[in-house]
Amino acid sequence: MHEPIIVDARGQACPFPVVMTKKALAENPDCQDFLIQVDNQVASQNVSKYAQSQGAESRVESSSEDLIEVKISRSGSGKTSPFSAKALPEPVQSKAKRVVLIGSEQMGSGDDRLGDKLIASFLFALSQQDELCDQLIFYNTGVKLCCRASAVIEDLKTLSANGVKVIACGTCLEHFGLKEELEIGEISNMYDIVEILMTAAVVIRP
Amino acid sequence: MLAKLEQKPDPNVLVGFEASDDAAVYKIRDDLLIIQTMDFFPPLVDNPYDYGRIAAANAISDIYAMGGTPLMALNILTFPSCLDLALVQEILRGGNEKALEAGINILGGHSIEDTEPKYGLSVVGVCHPDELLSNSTAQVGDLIVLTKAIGSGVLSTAAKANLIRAETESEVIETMAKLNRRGMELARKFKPSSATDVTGFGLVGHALEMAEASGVKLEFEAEAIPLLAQAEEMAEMGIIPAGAYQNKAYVGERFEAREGVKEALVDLVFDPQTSGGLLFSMSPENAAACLAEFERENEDFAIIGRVCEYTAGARIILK
Repeated sequence: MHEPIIVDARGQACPFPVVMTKKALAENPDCQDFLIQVDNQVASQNVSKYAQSQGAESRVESSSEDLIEVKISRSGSGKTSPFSAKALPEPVQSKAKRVVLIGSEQMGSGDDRLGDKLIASFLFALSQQDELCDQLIFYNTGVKLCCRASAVIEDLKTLSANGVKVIACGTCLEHFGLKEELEIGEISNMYDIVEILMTAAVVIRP
Repeated sequence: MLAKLEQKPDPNVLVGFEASDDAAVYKIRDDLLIIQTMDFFPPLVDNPYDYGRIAAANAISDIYAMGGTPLMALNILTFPSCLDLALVQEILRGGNEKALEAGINILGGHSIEDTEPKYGLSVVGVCHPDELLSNSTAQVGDLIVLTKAIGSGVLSTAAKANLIRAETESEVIETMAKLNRRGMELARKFKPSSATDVTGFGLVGHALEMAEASGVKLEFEAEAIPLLAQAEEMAEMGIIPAGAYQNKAYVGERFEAREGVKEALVDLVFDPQTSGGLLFSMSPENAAACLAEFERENEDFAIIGRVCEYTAGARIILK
């Protein structure tokens, strides 16, 4: 009997308890039992609905006014079939990696304000994926996104904390006089960047 | 909230707080009524211009929901002193654009500092007494029609965590920013017996006000209710805003969902809407003709239920 995975979603407003539950279930495909802790009825009902939509069983237990626990169990549930993820062989592990390459502080060209908005929402969406990319490389004006004044620092920190390697082009930082301002990311040179790109399975340029 | 406060009798007040209607109506001449409304709220979308458009469309909608024509409006605005003035200007630009689209000017207003931005309008409109559309006059045998798809509360919540597609998000914003002007102009020709607009109390909350004020029961066909893209998917996933649960709790046993109706649909009929569509009751012949007219103009229109006699039990049925 495995210990359940505990997700503390107390203090979170809708939709984030569901988002956190979704993430925990996706990141732990081998786990059967989850314990989602929330502090309000809306969150406990929404998390239960989510569990139900995933074909899992859920039970709500309230131990005190500010702690409600939703127990989610995937075992023996309706949607589990012999062909579920668990029954499939492990995917072949390779060194091939997913690399996201960002060469501008905006996403797309034509309207800078729109571009700012798009890159911010791209990086946020990237940080919320069930399967993250392996490396995130910033060059040209893209390096400004890794610096102190950047509006996307928090998302980059989330990505980094979840194992995504963040790399900033050293020549570019120097060009803009931003070396001292670098808030997140490892300074790298073109040889390293070329090697990463050459061995990548997928290179994504937003 | 006003229920316990004293008011002096005034024979010219046609619709006041006790009516749970959309706006206040006052008779100034035998052939002229003025309608006044006011609504404002904190931002629910990121873009300040969209927020301004939505807040203004939402406020003006109450005039249309009474069958009136808007005349003029005043801004009400609060914002933190640290907020970039360019953003404030964008909010006001969005509001002004909607007012012009409604054919009116914003003639002034008032702003104060606050911890959070809030924006809306107070709107004055007029109406001939014969054209006034109350929510208290639905007739047994009428059909119920709705002019905008629902689900904007669920989808605005889902958008906070980027759970929906970009095109869904734009569709939600445009739906909320859409004026109910054309909807009212078209529907008016088909003599609706009553009207209201669908906003914070959700479809069922506003339908219940209509049912109770009219002394009738309303039966809705769950599958006929138009939903915004991805609304059902998000509701199934449990992205239900707190307001939907409050609406459901408030309505309580006055609502009944028949067996077999999907849970997600039951949640969506309580979803609080911002600047939602108009809800009319009209005779079956007129509803059919009206549907054809809306289709010709490519305007949203759906027949979603009917008005029945109320005997006992729930006032609103979803089947």
